Amino acid sequence: MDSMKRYFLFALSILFVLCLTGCWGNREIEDLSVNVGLALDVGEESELEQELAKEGDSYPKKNLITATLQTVPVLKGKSEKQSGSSKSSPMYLNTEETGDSIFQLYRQFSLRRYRPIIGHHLKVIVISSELSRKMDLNKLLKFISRDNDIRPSCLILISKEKASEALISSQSGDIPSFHLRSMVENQFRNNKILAPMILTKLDGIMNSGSSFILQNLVSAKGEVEFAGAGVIKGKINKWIGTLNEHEVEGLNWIRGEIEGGVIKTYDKSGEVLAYEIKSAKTKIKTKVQGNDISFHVSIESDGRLIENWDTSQVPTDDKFLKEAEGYFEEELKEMLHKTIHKIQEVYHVDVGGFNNKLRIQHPKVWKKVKKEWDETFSQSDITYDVKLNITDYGSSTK
Amino acid sequence: MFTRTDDKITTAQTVVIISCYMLGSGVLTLPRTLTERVKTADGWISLILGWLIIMLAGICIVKLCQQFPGKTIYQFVQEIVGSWIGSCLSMLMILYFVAISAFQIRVMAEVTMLYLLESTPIWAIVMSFMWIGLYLITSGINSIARLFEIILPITIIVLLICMFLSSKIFDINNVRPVLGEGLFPVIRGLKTTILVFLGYEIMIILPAFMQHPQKGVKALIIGTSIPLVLYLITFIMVVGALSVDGVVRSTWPTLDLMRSFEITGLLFERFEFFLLVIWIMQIFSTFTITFYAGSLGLAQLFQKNIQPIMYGLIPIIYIVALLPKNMNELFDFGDFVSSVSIYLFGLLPVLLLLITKIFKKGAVKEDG
Repeated sequence: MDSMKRYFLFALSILFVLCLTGCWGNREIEDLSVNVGLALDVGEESELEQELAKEGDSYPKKNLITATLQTVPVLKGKSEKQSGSSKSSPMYLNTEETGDSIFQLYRQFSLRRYRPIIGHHLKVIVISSELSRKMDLNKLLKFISRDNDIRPSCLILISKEKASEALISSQSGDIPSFHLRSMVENQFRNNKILAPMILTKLDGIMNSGSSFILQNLVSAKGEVEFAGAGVIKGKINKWIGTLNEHEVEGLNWIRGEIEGGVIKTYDKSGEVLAYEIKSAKTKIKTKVQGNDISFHVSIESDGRLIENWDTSQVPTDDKFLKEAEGYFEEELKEMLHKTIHKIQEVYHVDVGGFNNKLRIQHPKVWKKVKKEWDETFSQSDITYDVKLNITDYGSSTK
Repeated sequence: MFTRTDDKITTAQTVVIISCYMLGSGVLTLPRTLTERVKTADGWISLILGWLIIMLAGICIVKLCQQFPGKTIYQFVQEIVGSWIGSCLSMLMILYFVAISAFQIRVMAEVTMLYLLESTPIWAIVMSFMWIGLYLITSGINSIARLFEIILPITIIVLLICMFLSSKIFDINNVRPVLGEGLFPVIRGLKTTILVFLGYEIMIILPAFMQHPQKGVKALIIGTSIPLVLYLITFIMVVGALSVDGVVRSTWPTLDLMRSFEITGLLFERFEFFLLVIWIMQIFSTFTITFYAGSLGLAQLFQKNIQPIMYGLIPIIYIVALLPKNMNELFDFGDFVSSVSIYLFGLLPVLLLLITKIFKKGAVKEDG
């Protein structure tokens, strides 16, 4: 081959290497603010914001929403790292922004923090009941479900008080958003936790116009607890009230979402009796007669007698076990009764999944009543029977 | 492996080409487009019915091609209806293929820009894609077939794994009841399902390249069943997780399904990237085969060398791909092109077959 030509080709290929600069648009992960949690409250400018506004930070907006963006990691000075636990500083940074468009609030963030925010790891969204009472959830979550970074797997929670307080933790080293995310997984330990409501599911439910419940949070002194549920009425998608822990438990039984937990009651002498749920099964049968729609809920569960304070009774005695089963069944029935009363008579919403049962079992009837379902549901009859079996009594017979 | 010089493809390769062509941008939007029309969870029945209809149309095409062994439709259509109408029909088909390849490449660019390469300019994505495609098709149908043979198994495995992993958020109640509102919704969905099964029309040229053209129908049946099964699984898993009301709200429901869960402790947490990667490969295959079909048509229509035509088509496809101004125009463009195909490859072959049978044109008895 002609040597000139070879040199030329060689030089050309070297030149082409220059084109392979690779990731010129890269951003170091340490230099990003990873948005892990978002709390939405009724718009109220914080002191800091008011001062900033006085200094000239203003743009045309209505102060409808205060968004608290939780980001990690936090920059730590060297001295702080060495001083260790003597002065514990949080692992996260909460930034409050007030305005209307949530997307704009996100972008305002860049005016205050130099590290650009990314949404890929958003784990939880906490909405205060106050805000969701005033505003359609659909509007609040529109940006979140449309954004291409934020994953629809993020969790939606309701907070009784200010949502931003749910994103504060008194334990050092704890990141509240991760904390909340993991706590939902405790369903197998406690039946007062609702099945996680992720954005994907919520989007479908909101579009169908049915009512739903979201896990409620209460917080005090930097501690956050799951407590009951916020009831959101379909169609308007606004918060109308809360269910307490007891009712959430009952609802979980009705929805067949029990994975574990306890039923506690008292025997006739007032001593504690506790039942550990090993398995639970719920069946709902719908009956349609003319215009009357009725439901029959039957619950069956196997479990263990785990605690009885009345030591004169021994679980090896069949009669006592039968008696204990009776107490537990009574307790569960009471719970169901209260729950159904609350959702039918007080809130007039179907959050127990009865609509799905009717849709599947009587699709033609469902089509007729789905427009005014919550009202129809409030008038329908719900009966239930409960069967609890104590199968064993653990490692202690007396 | 020995290199073939006669550029023929085996029956298995034909199957693979049909499957790869069918699996295009449809997988990503199918659950939404179908549910929008059906409005219940019965879309999967529409899928099966649509597949049956497609099969009939496909068999017509294969039978037609078998009347003219060794020739593609571009070559024999003039024998059937005369040179003027024949050329016009060929031209329409060529335009169709060019439009489909442009559409596919644009959809690919849009999704890539949304989820993968946010700030990469569209021309950079589209052009690199087109040049690689060109590189592939200049070597002829045999190279295309061999590449597709590599792509298809990967696609099937990755798609199945992704769908299987999503079972965590699958809820059977979302796909019940079956036929709750009767058969009517299913019929409504037929138009959409026929459109997602587009791809069978590649049989207008493939029998000419087959070693055993008499096995055309068999290849067609197997080739279309693979996408059917994949579509069925995808549809049921997506609707099962997102529910009927959720699916219609999502622009790319299949991707949203993947984005709705993370699997911790399995080396990878997020699986939408796998889906996107295999799906880009599938779009690539759809793009190349339509590109090839278009250039082959032009070459045979004007009896010119195929290579310069391929180079010449590049700018045309590029311009057509960038014509739609926004997502709505893009989806409208896709709908329009697909509905054209119903006439072009659904009704026309039946007519042509009738004419051939009545006037006894072509080589009636082929020797295999």
